[in-house]
Amino acid sequence: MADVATSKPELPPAAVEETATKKWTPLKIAVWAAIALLGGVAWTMLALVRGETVNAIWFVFAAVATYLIFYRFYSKYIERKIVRPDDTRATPAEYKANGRDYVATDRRVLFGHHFAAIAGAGPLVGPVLAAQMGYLPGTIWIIVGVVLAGAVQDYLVMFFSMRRGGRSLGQMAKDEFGRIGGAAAIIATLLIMVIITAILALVVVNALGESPWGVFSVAMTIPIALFMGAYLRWIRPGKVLEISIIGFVLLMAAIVGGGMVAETSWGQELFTLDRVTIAWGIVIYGFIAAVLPVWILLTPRDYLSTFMKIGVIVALALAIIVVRPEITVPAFTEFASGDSGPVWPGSLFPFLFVTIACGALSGFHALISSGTTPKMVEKEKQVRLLGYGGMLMESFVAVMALVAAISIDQGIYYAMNSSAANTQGTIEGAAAFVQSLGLTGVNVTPEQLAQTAAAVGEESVVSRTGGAPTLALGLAQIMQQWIGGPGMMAFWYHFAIMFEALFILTAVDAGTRVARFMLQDSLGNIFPKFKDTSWTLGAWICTAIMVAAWGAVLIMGVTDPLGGINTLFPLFGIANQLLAAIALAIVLAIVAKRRTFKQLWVVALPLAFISVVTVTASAFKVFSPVPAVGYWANHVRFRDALAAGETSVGTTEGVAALEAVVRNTFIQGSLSIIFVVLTLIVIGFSVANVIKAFRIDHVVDQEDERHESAMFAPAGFIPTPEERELQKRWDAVPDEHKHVATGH
Amino acid sequence: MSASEGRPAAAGALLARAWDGVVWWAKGVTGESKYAAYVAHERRAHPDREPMSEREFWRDEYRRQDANPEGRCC
Repeated sequence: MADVATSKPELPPAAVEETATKKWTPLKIAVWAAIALLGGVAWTMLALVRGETVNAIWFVFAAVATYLIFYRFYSKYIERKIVRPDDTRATPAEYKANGRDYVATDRRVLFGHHFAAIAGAGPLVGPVLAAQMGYLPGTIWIIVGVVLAGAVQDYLVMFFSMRRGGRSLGQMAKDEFGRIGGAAAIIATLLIMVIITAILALVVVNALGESPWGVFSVAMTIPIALFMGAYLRWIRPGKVLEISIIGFVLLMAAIVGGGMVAETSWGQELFTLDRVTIAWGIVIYGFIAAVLPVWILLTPRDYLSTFMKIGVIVALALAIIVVRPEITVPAFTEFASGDSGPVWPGSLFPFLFVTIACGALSGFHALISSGTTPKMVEKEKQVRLLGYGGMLMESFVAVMALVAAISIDQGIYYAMNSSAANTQGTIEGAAAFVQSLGLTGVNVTPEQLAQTAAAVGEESVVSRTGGAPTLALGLAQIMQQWIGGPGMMAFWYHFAIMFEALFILTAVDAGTRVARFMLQDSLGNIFPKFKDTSWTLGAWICTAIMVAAWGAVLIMGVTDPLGGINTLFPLFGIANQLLAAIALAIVLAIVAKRRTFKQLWVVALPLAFISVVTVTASAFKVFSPVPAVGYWANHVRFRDALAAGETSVGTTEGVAALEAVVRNTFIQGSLSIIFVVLTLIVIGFSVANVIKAFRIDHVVDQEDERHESAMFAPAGFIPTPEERELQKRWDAVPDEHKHVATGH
Repeated sequence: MSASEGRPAAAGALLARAWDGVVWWAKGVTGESKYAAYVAHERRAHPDREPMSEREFWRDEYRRQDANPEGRCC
């Protein structure tokens, strides 16, 4: 094995030389053949074998085998042909090292760190809603979508951001597309953040409405976070792990305590809040949390949420493997071929692909993958593990969420996820509505619904839309079979609600802050004073504007006579996927400018697919004559009804409700148009850049200049023998000989 | 005989190593090890100046986070 030379003769090389073609040993061939075979069998069980039930373990096998194969072969192909990492080149963490944000971080730690930043409530909610079409469409899109689109996006964005010293997506857009293209990308990002924040908040509101237990335990996270913040500030600064464990114990106590409080009459009186009240609570909380210093609420809660995130996901994976629930949901339901599903309206194409965003392809990740993580990467070759591998992990979370959601009884699923407009919010109404769906083998009795509510310690489970309660029920059913038995059902249910609420509140708070800075930056172009982010009044004004924006959408969703989440969720998915289209468009231009034309399809394929999906979905939302699908069709229908002096349309009664629908559909329809126009502008700039790249004959790049690397670390989780050997040589180098990198 | 006596000790050592690994990883993921990384950097890059104390460092760190918010995904 020849060494790659470094500039410093006393140091070992900074990279392992690529050996031309390594011989495949029979053992290696056998292992990959076994993985392929297992994956093949699992997909056959899911897609082709039509039994009464299918075991959940096949979902795990199909997902893991597919991930392994694509990670090993496809991401490696992308690495060799497009990314072309160079480990002799220093990463920003090395050449800009400042001991603060540019810190070379061990790949295993950074993987956990990056995963905690990208994984949230999104992959937990989308698959639950998609289950109305049966398990197969969602499963295929989550698994195939991630390996061909989502992981590719995360990987490339992270790599190109790293080559640019950790620049953000918005800055990259400005660099590649100039001021107008960059501005379109930034406005689209800002609007999308408003929608995403609002709809995440709506998920929490729907989970906590009329639930004294949930309200109490989630409210308790505020004093717990305050205590943790104070502990870290005054008692033992920096002892994050210790206070996180204390916080976790307090959190569990809050969940148990919530059950007791909810049984007392004062507890019920105090903590049974309707959804509008909770929504206002979150709006006020969102403003306060976003203007307070981070150490008071945001950071401590983030520590808790990281703990819960990794813990729950590991626990759920183990539980699914141990319990192996039998799934009775069919591969396809009747709703897969129509556009009238009760959970959300719309046809499989394109709406499945926007309903499941996070887990398959999430544009929001592009914001996370640019910026923080790239500043901490030790070696260029590690980006494949962090970007591509990290996204595969998130996809696996989505698969588990899907399994949890489809493990519950289908009748209960529809009763929980149909809007109150359909179920009247009563167990009798829900049972009748599920009956009226006319699905073979799907029915539910009012008694069953009452029993389910009692088992999870809730007043009612009818029309608990938004995905979180359904997932919590599924998770509780699986977990109690593993730990605790039926007596623990209610604990696990509220544990899951708490887990999702923690993520979402952190996302709401962090999203408001990020949006506020973006707004200040944009307003600063007109009023220079706003550029000064330490100007308190400016910060308050911009925070108030952002909170008002998402708060308005949230209140609109909560009070929507048609059910809110059912009509708004597609907008969330469209927004997220349009952001993905923007990210992929930027990446496409960069790949073309690096003159990688032969493999341009690797980016062009997901970009084309997601552009078609989102533009079609937006077109449906704008132009569809079916009122349940098209915002404008509904707008016109309700407006005409009002003009004709009618006081009810369908299940919507009363002039005020009709007016609300007219107003909401107008806002939703307008947003759909704005999103799609902005995205088409960005894609247009991207295509123009690609064509320009064809015409010129030299590489154009906005990369930082090259710095020679003087450190080494393995690329994957497990070092190869060559890496191990080189690592030993580096370990033997005395500290004083090691290169001192300074970025300042 | 000696092998069976050695085994619990070896298993104990292995367990201790695994536990240390978990703690090291958790400290990294939650960010607890940030201060250690900062001190290590200061010692190497600026041996001439005294690094901030842990308390000062965390105050400064949270100030930095206030000024550079990081998104959290959905």
